[in-house]
Amino acid sequence: MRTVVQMILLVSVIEAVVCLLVLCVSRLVRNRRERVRREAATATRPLILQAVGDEDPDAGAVLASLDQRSWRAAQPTVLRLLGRVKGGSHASLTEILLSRGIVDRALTDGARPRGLKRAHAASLLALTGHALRTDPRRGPEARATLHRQLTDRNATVREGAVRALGRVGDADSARLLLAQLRSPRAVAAGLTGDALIRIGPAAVPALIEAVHGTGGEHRALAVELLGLIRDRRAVATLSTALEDRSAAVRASAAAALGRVAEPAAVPALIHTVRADTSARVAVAASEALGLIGDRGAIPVLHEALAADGYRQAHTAARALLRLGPAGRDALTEGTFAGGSAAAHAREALATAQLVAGGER
Amino acid sequence: MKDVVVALIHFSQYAVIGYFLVLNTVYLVLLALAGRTIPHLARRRRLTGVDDLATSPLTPPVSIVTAAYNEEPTIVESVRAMLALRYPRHEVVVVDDGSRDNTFERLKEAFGLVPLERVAPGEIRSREAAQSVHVSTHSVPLTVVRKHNSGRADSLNVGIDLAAHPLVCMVDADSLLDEDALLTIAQPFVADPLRVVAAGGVIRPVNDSVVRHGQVIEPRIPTRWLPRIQVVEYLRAFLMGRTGWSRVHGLLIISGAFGLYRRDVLVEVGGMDADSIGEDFELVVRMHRHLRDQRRPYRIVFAPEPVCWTEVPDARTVLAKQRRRWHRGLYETLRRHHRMLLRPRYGVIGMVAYPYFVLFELLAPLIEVCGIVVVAVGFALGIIAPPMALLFVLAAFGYAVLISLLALLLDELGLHRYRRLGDLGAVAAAAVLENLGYRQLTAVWRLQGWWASLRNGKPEWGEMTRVGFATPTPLDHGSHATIPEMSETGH
Repeated sequence: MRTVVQMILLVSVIEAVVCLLVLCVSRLVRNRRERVRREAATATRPLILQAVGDEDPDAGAVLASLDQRSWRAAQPTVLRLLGRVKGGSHASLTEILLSRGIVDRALTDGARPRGLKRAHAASLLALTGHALRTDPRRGPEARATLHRQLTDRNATVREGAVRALGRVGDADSARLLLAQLRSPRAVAAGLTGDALIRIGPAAVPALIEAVHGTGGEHRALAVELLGLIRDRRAVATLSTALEDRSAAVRASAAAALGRVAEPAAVPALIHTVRADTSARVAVAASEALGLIGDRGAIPVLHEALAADGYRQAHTAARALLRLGPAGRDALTEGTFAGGSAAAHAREALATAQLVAGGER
Repeated sequence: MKDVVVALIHFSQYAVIGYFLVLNTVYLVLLALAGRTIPHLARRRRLTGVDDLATSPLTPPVSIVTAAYNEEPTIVESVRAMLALRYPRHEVVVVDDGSRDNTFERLKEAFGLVPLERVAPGEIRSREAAQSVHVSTHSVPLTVVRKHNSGRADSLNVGIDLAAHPLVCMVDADSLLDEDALLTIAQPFVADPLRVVAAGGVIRPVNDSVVRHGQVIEPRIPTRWLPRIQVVEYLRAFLMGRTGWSRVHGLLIISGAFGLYRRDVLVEVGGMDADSIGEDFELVVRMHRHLRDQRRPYRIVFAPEPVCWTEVPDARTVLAKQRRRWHRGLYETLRRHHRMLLRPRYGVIGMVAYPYFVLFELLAPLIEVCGIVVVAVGFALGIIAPPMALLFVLAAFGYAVLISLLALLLDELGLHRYRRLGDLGAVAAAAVLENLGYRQLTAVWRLQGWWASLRNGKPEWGEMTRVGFATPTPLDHGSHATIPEMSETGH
């Protein structure tokens, strides 16, 4: 026992001393590195801001020709800004990276053995992807690299590739993004969906195919994304999806039809509010009717005010608010109905009054 | 008789040594698990970031729900900070739990609150219903609910019921969240929307940090030793321990100060238990039990990066009350759900995490105090030789300090929040000092909390006295607005 205790004490003391040393050295090195970077960045920050704000036409050229040391200090700020700016500012910063050959290096780094290098490459392509999309040489090369990275063994690389394809991808990229959702190395559905939304109309054919596929979750996601892209080519598919066997798909379809604001879907949505067995679907259909704004929906929404479920009545009241004076009249009539319908009607009218007062 | 006593003392001595060996080894295992997770997450975040989540229409909207009781000096700044969090769509629901000061009046003045007739969904029952609901006329998504005082858990239930969004983030009214904290804690829900039902974030002491407009712009180690030692505790137990448990799907607790939940699951389990003094712990255990009973795939995760900054007690009396309350809550929850213990149907929770909490969280203060008594009695009777006793104490001490330093090292290498070398030195010193009285005192307080529960004594909360976040000086001076010390805790 004595020996065991002595061993524990000895090992603990030695390791504690090692910990303290590593802590101190790590912090000192990090502080020094940050200080040096901060000092170097101070010199380049005005240039970067001028390039972003388009204040000085030469600022970009100066940044593009900075020496390596100064650029290493400036690069983190440039990359951080790239993630947060749009339009001309984004184009200016991307041009600097292109001039310095950084984007070309990222295209090559996509095939490196080290996972961190590949991940950095994907991350950089994500930041500059908008400009690469129309580049006749770099665009196809970037897409090819990123398509390969969708099956990378490193999860961070795959996520970076998905993000990048959202900026530089095309119709083929959309198909591959949807296909990887079913693979063991799938990237989060939310990230993949965001990338597909960014690809936009080019992703619609692949999404329509996916709606007819298997797997309720993936079909529901495809339907939701079609609604967010708001492409009218999807209307027929979305209307059919209102009859899907999966409640999740039907709910997504109702929501999507509301986003697309398809007037031809109103009768189907009215039927859904009345007849669907799933409360979640009925709620989505009520909301969609409010977004479409067709006054033909007023009777069914007025009925739904008296629904047993809170969400149905609440959503119906909010939807009626969107249907103009006739909708408000229906709400006012609802205030005399008694029970929860009256309460929901009063709440909606009071909210509308508040919003109107705020706008004035 | 003497032989019996001698044998008992020797046995107890070995039993206590063995217990602390096992306890610290378990911490070491949790640290190793956290050691694989934290650097990986930090690297991943630097590369993929949260910028896309901040603009994505697929990021699920969040209702931040907070219960406020006598928070007059800080409530406006806290709510402003919550409203300013970077997130595509979120609302703030403040439940004024019958404050006796001007908490509501401050909010009304700052945000132009007006009453609004609201229909409550009634999906979560509460003891005290909302007396009135108020919304802001300043075009901010803020709802303030007034009700009679009935405690934090019941107030949160009122807030959860009125929450409009599918995710509910419960935050303490006096806490500060990092600007991207909501985005980071929401990431697991985006990554795995069908299975993730709850996520916890890290709590760090904010005492003496630099705060400006509700944002911690420079984390610092507290200047006083009591909160300084709590920094060590929080790093070891909350950050490293919970990251490790999350890695093996054994996370049994999410801090009440900062947690994100799926609202529909909260409704299913009936919200917080208003009778429980450890309501945050009890909620998560109940969620595990409910979902495993239903055999539904789910995950409850811990995210080591999104930080919630909170002021920790810097007075002994306040800390004592807190620790008594925590241990009482721990015991009552473990007792209530004891059927989960060592039941295979509850998987890692029932077979590993639950036994750990019983053996190494609940019993730890008892074993520690017994150990002290055994050594003292052994000394007095001349049974334990001083050199051996000293060796044992030093070994236990050394192992515990090592665990704390490893936690600090992992935090520095993975997250590096504290920039000043002096701060690291202070925390390292606190890791040593923690074992010279602090741990022993908290063991006694924890036992007192346990004893109070066994005697069915009334739980103690106490009155809160707040003096507010200090007004920051002009930005160009870059000076330090520090949070004044609290005098008491309690809600």
